Amino acid sequence: MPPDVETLNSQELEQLRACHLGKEVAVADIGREFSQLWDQDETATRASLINFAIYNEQLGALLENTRLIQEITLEHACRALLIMSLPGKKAHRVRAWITAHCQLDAAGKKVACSEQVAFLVEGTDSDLIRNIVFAHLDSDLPLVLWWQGALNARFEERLYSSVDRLIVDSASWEDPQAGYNTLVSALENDRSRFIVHDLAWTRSYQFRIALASCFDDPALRSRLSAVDSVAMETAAGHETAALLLLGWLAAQSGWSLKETHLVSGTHTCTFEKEDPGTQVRAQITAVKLAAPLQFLKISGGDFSVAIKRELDCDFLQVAYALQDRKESRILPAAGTDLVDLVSGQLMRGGNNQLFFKILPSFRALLQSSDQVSGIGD
Amino acid sequence: METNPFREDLVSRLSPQPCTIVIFGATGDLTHRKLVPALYNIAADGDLPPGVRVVGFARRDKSDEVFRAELENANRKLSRQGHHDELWANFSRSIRYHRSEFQDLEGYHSLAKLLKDFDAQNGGTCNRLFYLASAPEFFDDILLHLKESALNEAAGDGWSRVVVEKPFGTDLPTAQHLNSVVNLTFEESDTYRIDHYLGKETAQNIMVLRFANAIFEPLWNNRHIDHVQITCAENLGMTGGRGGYYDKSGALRDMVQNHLLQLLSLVAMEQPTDLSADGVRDEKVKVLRSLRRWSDPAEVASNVVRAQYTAGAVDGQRAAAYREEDRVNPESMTESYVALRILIDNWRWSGVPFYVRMGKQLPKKATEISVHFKEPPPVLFNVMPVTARKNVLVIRIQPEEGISLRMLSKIPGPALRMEPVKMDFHYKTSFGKASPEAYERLLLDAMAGDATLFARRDEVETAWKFIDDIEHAWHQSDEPPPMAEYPAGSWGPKEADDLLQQDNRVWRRI
Ligand SMILES: NC(=O)c1ccc[n+]([C@@H]2O[C@H](COP(=O)([O-])OP(=O)(O)OC[C@H]3O[C@@H](n4cnc5c(N)ncnc54)[C@H](OP(=O)(O)O)[C@@H]3O)[C@@H](O)[C@H]2O)c1
Repeated sequence: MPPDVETLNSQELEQLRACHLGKEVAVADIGREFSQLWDQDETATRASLINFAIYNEQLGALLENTRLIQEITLEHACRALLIMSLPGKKAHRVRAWITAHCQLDAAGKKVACSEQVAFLVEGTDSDLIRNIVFAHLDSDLPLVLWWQGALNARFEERLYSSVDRLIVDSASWEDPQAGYNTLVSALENDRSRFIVHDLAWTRSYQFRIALASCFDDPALRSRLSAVDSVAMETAAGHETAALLLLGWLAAQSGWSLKETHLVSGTHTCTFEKEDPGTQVRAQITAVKLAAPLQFLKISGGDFSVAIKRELDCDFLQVAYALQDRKESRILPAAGTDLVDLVSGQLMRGGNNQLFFKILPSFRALLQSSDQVSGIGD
Repeated sequence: METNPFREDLVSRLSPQPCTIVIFGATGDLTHRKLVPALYNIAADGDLPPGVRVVGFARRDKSDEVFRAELENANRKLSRQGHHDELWANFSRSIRYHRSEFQDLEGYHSLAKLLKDFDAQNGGTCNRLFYLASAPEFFDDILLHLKESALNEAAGDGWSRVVVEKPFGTDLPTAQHLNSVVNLTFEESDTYRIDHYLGKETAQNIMVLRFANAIFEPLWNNRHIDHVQITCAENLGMTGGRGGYYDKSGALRDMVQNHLLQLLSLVAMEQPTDLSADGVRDEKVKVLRSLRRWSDPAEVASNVVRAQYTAGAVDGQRAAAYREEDRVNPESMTESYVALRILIDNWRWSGVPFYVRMGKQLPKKATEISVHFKEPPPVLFNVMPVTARKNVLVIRIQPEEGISLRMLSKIPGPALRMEPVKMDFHYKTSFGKASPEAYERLLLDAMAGDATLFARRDEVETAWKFIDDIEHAWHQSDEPPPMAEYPAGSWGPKEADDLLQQDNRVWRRI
């Protein structure tokens, strides 16, 4: 945490100005100011399906977050709350700005507008944060909270027990294991009812679709029990995405983790299959300058399946070989931009049961890779 | 067969299976405008299983390359998600052209050989989906030749299915004939009769609205509902040579027999025991069986209005009369408009009329269902004069898919005055993304073996029984009910207004 300082410095003020947050209003007047905004503009329709809050503690992220909200509201009409918390400041103070993001029809007419309130919260006051969230929700609509950065002390029970969907990105956590420990204990709390979406898991979505589509082929499906090797390549910093994907493969195939090593950025794991005595070896290699998930290959006996995504490419190359037969095709690979990930996730919704199902095998991988990492490196 | 563990939770639907899709009439309008763009978009969404191949069957001579280039042209213009060269190149590799006459058995033998080659390349038997996208007069030929060449038989673990485009006959005997030929060739469970209205999101939403919400179903009966209106309005006449086909069909057979009776069944059906294809279709067909039938022309005349448009104006342009349209018989007795008062003889709907209307050259394009609730008892607020007192729930099928609910509200001010207000939900503003095209959903379902959104034989035939009574009264009786008129660009004939007026009701303003 940065040292306590009284108020924003000139660079921070500049960052704030660059964000075009709209009209600054007194926190107590937000409702009234919005009414006035709508009274002035008869062409627009206010629309909202969810409350969508973004929480962040880096002022430098504000500009990017205003862009994200603007783009996400194009597909998801919502009440957007942008909460910029600066726990390093001494003052306990909140400033607020309001604006609206409108979808335009072909003729350039505003058709549906989402309201946005941006808050700048100085000081470490959890009560303040909770209160501004609670006080500005659209009633009856679910609350989606995108918590950017580590799950720290501000992520507390009274706040998360009101959340319906929580979006996090474990790739941004310095200590994914600690992050997951906090997350799981929040999930296990009797009062919590949120569904969690880790964007690292979302990043593997198209890979999972692609793999599933290969195994729609009954001939390949019958070879599933013959898998003996898995190889993955991931971008450095995105190892959790690969571990989640591997955890999923293991959970869905009935493999249990036997051992794991981390040597010079390469995870090597051994799983035992349901059929006693048979094993699967898996390797995850982190490479620089790659798509978060770059490559997955599964093989065994007379078959192999390979899925590849080149950096900055919009497609996955999917190929499989079974005896003499070879199939290959390309599939759309959904953007890796945060807007694409969050929008896609909001669109799919769901109760994320599969994620809960694979959590134990993923956490086992995460834990053991963490334990061994000190030895291997 | 063992399920695919990697599919879990990825899509909450049956997954489409790899297959070869053979389209009969593949150089036609339907294939270019709907089928191939739908398949391309399924591929663009990553939902097309690997190993899917498309074989176009038609009579003109052309190479695979020319065929693909023609389809590509159409896809560029019509694809919902735009056209991406790389994706198209990948998708179109699987498209082949097979030249043959529908009547030529040899063409089916060579098709069988082509499919066998695919099987060999696939390392096993491939599933087959035969799509009849030809004019209906060829259905018999195609089906019988498929049987003769044994293409209808599923081999090994595979399946062989047929998708049949509308019209499913032109009356009960022709529908029965078509169905018997279809069922001679394919099992009913392998037969998928397309009614693209059922593939529309809002049509699917009718069941969700009714059975997933607690507030509607308790009111969904004759105690609370006064009547239901189903409207399908088109602001087009017989452009693009449609007159030739339309004049042989008419509004009743072209739209009411299939699409509008399907919508009516979804609104009126009882809760199905499960969401299986037959679970849902069993309940829908019960509604069709309960439709009150009219035994003589006088009864038809008092419950059904038919009409043709006279010259008028639509969309700011002069519009010709129906009988003056291209390829329409100048003495035609085919209706371009029909309005019906339908009664359903069961406990739930006894005494609740369903007013159904369909017309060409009306002021707007709109398809919607409106459920009009009964007036509250005339006490308290309800003794005061109000223009529209009834609550109305509207399900808009197209355009602007959505749902609205009208209710009364107090006008602010010291005096107690009330006005109707509307709660409106638009799919587009709420869910952002454009809904997939109906054909995408239906093709995926056919590949997955889910027939819920397809018409079953008994549904089609029961609907025809109801329609035939009306057609017979119009065309075979000595005293046929009259043909009314309405100016193009108006909301139909005044006789249709009278139909509701007699019951003290009016058509909803759209
Ligand atoms: N168009 C639509 O939007 C639409 C919508 C709903 C339902 N439908 C239904 O779909 C069906 C097809 O409609 P469409 O508009 O696509 O028809 P279309 O444009 O007239 O196409 C007819 C197709 O049949 C082929 N064909 C005709 N006679 C043949 C023969 N003797 N042997 C082999 N091929 C032959 C033609 O091939 P050649 O080009 O080689 O002559 C062409 O591919 C109809 O039942 C229609 O009612 C169409």
